[in-house]
Amino acid sequence: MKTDALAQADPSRWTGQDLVEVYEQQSPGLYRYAVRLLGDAVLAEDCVSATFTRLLDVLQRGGGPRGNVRAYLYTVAHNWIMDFYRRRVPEVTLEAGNLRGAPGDDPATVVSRERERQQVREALLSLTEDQRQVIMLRFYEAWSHEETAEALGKSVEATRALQHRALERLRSKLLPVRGSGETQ
Amino acid sequence: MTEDDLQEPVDARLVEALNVLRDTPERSPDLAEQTRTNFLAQLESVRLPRRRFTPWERLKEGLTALLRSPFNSDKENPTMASAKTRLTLAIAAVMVVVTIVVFGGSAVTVLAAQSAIPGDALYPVKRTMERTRLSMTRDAAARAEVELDFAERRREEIETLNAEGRFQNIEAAADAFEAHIRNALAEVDALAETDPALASEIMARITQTLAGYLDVLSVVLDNVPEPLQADLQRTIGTLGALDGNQNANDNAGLGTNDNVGTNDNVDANDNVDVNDNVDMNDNVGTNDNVDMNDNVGTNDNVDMNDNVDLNDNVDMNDNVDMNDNVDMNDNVDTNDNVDMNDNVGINDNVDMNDNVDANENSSVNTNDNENTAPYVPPPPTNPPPPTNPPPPSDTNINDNDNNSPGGSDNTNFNSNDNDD
Repeated sequence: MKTDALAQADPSRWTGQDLVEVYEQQSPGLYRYAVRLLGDAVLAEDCVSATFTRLLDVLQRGGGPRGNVRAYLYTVAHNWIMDFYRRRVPEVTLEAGNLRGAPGDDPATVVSRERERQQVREALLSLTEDQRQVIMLRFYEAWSHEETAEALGKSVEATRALQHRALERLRSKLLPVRGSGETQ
Repeated sequence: MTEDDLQEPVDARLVEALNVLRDTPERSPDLAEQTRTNFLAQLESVRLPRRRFTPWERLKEGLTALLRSPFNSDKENPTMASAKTRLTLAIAAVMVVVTIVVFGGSAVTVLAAQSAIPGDALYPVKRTMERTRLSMTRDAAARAEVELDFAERRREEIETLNAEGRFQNIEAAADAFEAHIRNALAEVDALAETDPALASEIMARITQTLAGYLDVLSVVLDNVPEPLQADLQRTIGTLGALDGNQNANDNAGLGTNDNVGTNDNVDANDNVDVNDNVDMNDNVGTNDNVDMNDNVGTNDNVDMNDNVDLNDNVDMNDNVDMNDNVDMNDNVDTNDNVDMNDNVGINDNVDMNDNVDANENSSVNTNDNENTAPYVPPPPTNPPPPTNPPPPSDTNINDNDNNSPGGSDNTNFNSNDNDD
């Protein structure tokens, strides 16, 4: 709630303590957001770190988020992730650190789960930036259309349309594969 | 996540497919701590503004101080004051020179500065010219008026800033407004000793200015970000209360003198306690109270004391409770009691006079008192009012006739007791 209050306040009034509060509240969510798209814990930490560096940088130069600081942070994080993928062609990495599963799990299951995640990730990466951001914020972060529209700097109607087209695209990317596997 | 959440129909299988990314691996505490440490180290090296109070917090603080001790501050030593004035003059002269040099001294610049608002390049010119004008004004009443003019300008600037969405500059204008009001109050304080009636008039204008300010704040309230609104709301509450108090004072300041005769009632003293609560009242109507003292002169007639009517006065005291209501006017009704006038004689109690403060409140009381008692002639220096019949030899004293102009009869008695 405190952060919501900060989001309304003039950023030039923020103190160090305010920023620590913003960090403590927003960093876990940003991490989850980043790791979904990046699929790598270390990269996700880098993304969180770079996002806050960017925030401090802007504040120091007398700028700052207009409006909602949370929307601002997620936009910065998204841009960082996109930059990352532009610099480096995504490749399926199955490093042990990124594989999840209980100790007793069958290694084959663990690997196939990671493969599913990677499929979804690639489907998301095939969307336009705006489409992807709408899905990330609306579907995974459960933001409202209004919040999402503010983060994207678009109208609510535009985000509705973006969401619709994004879901269509994801459906064509993901369902033929999974659909054929499940129609037994 | 459902269709409802997304607000459009979604294939359940698609939701299921997307959900494989919903759960994320637990964040490594070590890595997270590293990121956090990194952030804190960067934060350390960044220069951020120090915590500042919002304009409304500052305003609230200023007004609270203003309400607490408007006139209690120690008077400056007069010689010190004149030295200070000379210094101020010298500084102002230097400022004018600097202004002329920097801005070329063209009339255009000066004219353009008149419409500047905080944040504009020419705004300092405007303020400098104001200081110059003030430094050339010696008379306390005139200085108070000038300060009030400037306060009005600050209020207009806040309106403009608000209209233009320049909220960051409102704080400075609000600070300046407060300062002008405090300066005006200080001038009125000095003036009250020499010209109470004029001081009372200016006080009414200060009240008016504050009321205008209150209106502006109410408008600004709709536009400021939400976290500020609570503060602003409280400030408006403070100002609203201030406004109410001022109104009470105005009443005291105005119609009182005529009433003088009545107020002598000891009951008035009880009112004094009430007044203490409303600190602002002290500022206003005090002078009027001096007139009240004229009645005290009447009280010299000890003869009245025989009247058992004093008990009636006790009833009046109940009315005094009315005074708790800021509306002094309620008290006026009380005064109509004929019994009061009789009591006036009784009031000879010296205690009354001491309660100068009480009189401020009591001023409201008044005028209408019908004198049941026969008229007593005023001291020889004053001719009796024509409407009054010649005094009978009766011992009763009540002079306070409603018909007669307030204190004229009483004048001789003025203030002797009060001065203590």
